[in-house]
Amino acid sequence: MMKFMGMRSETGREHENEIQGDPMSKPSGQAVSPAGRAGLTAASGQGGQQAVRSFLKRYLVAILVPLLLILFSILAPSTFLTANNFQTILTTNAVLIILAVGETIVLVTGEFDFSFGGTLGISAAIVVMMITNMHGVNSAEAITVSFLAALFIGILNAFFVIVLRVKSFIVTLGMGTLTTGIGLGITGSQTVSNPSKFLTTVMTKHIFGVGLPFFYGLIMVIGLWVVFEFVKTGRNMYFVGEGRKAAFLAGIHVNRIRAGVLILSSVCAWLAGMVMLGQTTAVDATYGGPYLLPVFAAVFLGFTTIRSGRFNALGTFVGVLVLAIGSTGLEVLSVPSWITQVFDGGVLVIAVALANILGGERIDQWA
Amino acid sequence: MVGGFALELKGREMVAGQVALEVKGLSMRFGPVTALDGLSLKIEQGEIHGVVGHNGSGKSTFVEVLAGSHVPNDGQMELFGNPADFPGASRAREKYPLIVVHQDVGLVGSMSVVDNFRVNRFKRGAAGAIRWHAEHELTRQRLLALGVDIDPKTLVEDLSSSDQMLISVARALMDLEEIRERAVHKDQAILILDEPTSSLPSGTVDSFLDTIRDVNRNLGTTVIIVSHNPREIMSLSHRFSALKNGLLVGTYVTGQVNYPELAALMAGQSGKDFEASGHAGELRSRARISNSQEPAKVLSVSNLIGRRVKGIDFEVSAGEIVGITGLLGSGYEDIPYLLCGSQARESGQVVLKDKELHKTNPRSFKEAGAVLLPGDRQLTSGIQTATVRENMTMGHLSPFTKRGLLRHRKERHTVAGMMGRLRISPENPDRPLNEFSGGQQQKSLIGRCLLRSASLIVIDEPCTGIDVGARNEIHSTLREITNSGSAVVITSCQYEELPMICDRVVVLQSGQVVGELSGDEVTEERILKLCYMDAPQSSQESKV
Repeated sequence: MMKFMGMRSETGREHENEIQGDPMSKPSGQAVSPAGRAGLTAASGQGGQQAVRSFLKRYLVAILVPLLLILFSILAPSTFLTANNFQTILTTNAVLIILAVGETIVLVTGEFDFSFGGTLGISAAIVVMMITNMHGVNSAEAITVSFLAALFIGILNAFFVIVLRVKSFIVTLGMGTLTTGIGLGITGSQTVSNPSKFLTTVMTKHIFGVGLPFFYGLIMVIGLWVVFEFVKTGRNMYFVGEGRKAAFLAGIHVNRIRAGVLILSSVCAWLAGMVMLGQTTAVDATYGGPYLLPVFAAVFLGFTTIRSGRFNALGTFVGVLVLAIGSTGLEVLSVPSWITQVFDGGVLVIAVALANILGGERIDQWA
Repeated sequence: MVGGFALELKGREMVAGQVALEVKGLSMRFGPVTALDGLSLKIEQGEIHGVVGHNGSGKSTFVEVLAGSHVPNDGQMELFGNPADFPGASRAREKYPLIVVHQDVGLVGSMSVVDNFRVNRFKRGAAGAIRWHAEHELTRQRLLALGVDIDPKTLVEDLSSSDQMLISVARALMDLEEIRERAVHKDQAILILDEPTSSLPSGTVDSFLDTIRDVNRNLGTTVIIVSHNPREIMSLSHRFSALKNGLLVGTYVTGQVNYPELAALMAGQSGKDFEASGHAGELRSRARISNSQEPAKVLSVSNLIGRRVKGIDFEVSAGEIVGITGLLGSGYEDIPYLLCGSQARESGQVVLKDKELHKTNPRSFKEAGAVLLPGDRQLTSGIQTATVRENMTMGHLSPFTKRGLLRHRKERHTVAGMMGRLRISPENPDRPLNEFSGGQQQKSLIGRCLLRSASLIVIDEPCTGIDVGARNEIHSTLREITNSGSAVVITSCQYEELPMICDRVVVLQSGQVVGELSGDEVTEERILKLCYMDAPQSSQESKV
C-alpha cells in the first residue's frame, strides 16, 4: 500500500505533451522486482503453504464478512441476527456503496477525489432550497438543477486537474470544502427538512424489505465490474493509473479518461445526495463530510481483496460490507459511539497491513 | 592485461591463494520463485571475477545477497577466511569490506550530486554547519578523476544514466578508500559492480574499464563484475563464473575460453545451440538480397526540428531496418518521440505511407498505422504490475472486442500463441510482467508490435539490459517483421548491436545527420568514427 501511495504522489506532475524517452530518465538496466530478477524456477515443496498464503492474501478481507457476521450473531443473537437488522444494514449503507463506486473509478486511474462530501451536500441543499423557496418549482426541476450543479463541479475538478495541471489531491480537497461552504450558504447553515415527496417515495420503496437505493448501488457495483473486466475503457483506466506514460505512448486517451472519472465521481456523489435526501427527513450541507474515511476505507480494503493489488468493483463492495456489518454490530452491542470510529480506522490499517504481510512480496530489508 | 596469479590457473582448478569470498549452498527464494538454488562459489583475493548468465540465472540476486539487501534462506559466506553472516544492508556496509555498485545505481534523483555523493560524510565546520564549498570542490575533483565534468549542485535526475552510473562508481571508490584507511590488511576489500557499463555509451566504456583495472592492480582490491557483455568479460576479468537457474555452471579462466564459448555460456546455452541460432549478420545479408527490387517508401522525414534535433531528413522503405544513433545527447534519442508526437515538433514534415502526419500525438501516430515501442520497460513501454496479456494488447484491444465487450478467451489464446512464438516462458499470459526477467519482458513488449500489422515499427533501445540469447531472438523477430513488408526504425546507443541487425544506420551529431552507412559499411568502427568525428559545432551535451 505504501508503494501504491508513493506512485500516486507523482500524478499530475508530468507534462503529457512533452513525454519522451529521454535516456536521462532511464534506469540503467532492469530494476525488476526480486521475483522477476530471480528467474522463474518454481520452488518445490512449498507449494501448499504458498497456496494458503496467496488464498489468504486474496480473500482475507472477504473472509472478514462471514467472520464478523458470526461474531456479532453470537454476541447479540436476539438483536443482530434478525432479518430486519440485515435489511437495515443494506438499506442504510446505500449511500456508502454509491460513493465508494465513484471513488473506485477515480483511484484506479491514479487520481483522488476528496470533494464527494461537499458535492453530496450541495446537491441535497439545492433540491431542498429550490422547492422550499421558489414557487412552482417541482421535484424534477430541482433535481435536474442539482444534477447540473454536480456535473459542473466535476467538470471544474477536471479542468483544474487536466488543463491547469494541479494535483487532483489538492483540487478536490479544496473543492470539497468550497462546495460545503456554498451548501451551508444556500441553507443558511440550518438543518433543513426534505420537501420532495418524489424523492422520499423513490428512495424509501422496499424490495424484500431492503431499500431501493441499495439496489441502485448493487447495479452500479455490477456495472463497474463489467466495465473493469469486459470493456476496453475499463482496462485503459487501469493502465492510466499504473503506467500513465506508457498508456499515453500506446495511444490511450489518458486525459479523456482522467477527466471522465472525475466527472463521473461527482455524478455518483450527486446520486448519493439524492438517496440521502430521500432516506432522511432532514439534511445539512455537511452531512457528506463524515463519509470521507468510510469511503476510502472501503475502497482500499477492496484493493486488497478479490483481485488484490487492484482497485476492483467486488472488492469495494466487500469493503463496504465489512465496514457496514462492523459498525452496525457495534451499535447493536450498544458500545459507546466513539468505538465505531476506532473500528473504521483500525480495520483499514490492520487489514491492509495484514494483506501486505501475507503477500510476502517485499522481503527487501528497506521496505 | 592479466597481472597476478590468475593466469596460472588451469581449467576449473582453484588456486592455493587466499580466498576473498566464498559462498556455500546459497539459496534464495522469492515466494514460488527460486533465484538461487544452493549456489557455491569461490572468489580469489586480488582477481577480477566476472559473473555471467542469462536473465534469471540469479546473478543479480547473488549481488543483492552480497550487498545485504536480501537475506538468503540458506547458505554460508566466508570473507577473507572468516565466517560472515548476513546482517542486512545497512549493517553489512559497516561490518564488511564489501562495496556494491548496484545496477539501478542507488542514487536519489531529486537530490543534488554532492548530496548523493557525500551523504553521511559531510565535513562540518563551526557550529556543525556543512562546509559546502569544500564539499563541492571535493565532489568535483572525484568526478573529474572519472572523466565526468558536472556541477555538483546538479540534481541527479537531470543527469544522463551514464553520468549517474559514474557518480555511483566514484562514490564506491571513495568508500573503498575509507575502508582501506580503517583496515589492517589494506588489500582485503571487494568491489562489486552489477552491470556497470550497460548504461554507458560504447565510447566511454574503455576508459571506465581502465579505471577498474587500475583499482584492481594498484590497490589490490578484488573486483566482482556482473555483466551481459561478453567483450567486457573477455577484456577485463581474470576468471569468470557462469550461473544458470541459480546454480554454478562452472568457473573458468578467461584466457582459456574463446568468445563463442563465452557467449554461449552467457546465453545459458550449450555451445552447439549457440551456433545454431543468432548469427544476426547472416540474417541481415539474406534480407538484403530478398529486398533487391525497388521497395516502397514507408516513412519520409524532412527538416525535422525539435528541442535537440536541428533539422534532419531521412527515409525508410518497406522491408528495411534502419538504425538511428549517435552519442548520448546528440538528439538521436528524441527521434521516436518526435515522430510519434509525444515530444513537440518545432517544424518538419513526417510522411507515413504517402500521408502526412499533421497532428502530433501518439494516438494519431497509431491510427496512421505505426507502432512505437518506447525504451523504458519500467516507465514508458511496459506496465509492470499488469499481466503479459494486458501488456501485449495494450492500445490494441479492438480485435478482441465484440459488441463492446472483451473476449478474454480469444485474447488469451492469441497472446499465448505469441508467447509460444517468441519463446517466452513460462507461457502464462496472466502472469504479471514484473515476474519475468528483463529479456522475457522485452520479448513480450515486442509481441505487442507483432500483434498489429503495422507498416512502421519504431523501437527505442530494443535490447538494453537483456542477455545475448534474448537479443538474438529479438533480432530474428524484427527481421521476420520486415520480411512481411513492414519497416523498422531502431534508435540505440548499443553501437556493437546495430551492425548485427540494421540494413542502414543514420548517425547524428548535435542534432544533425553526420553520416549514413548502408550494407557492408555498417560496422561498429564506422559508426563510432561518425559519432566522434569533428562536429560542425561542439555540443555541450555530447561530451559525455
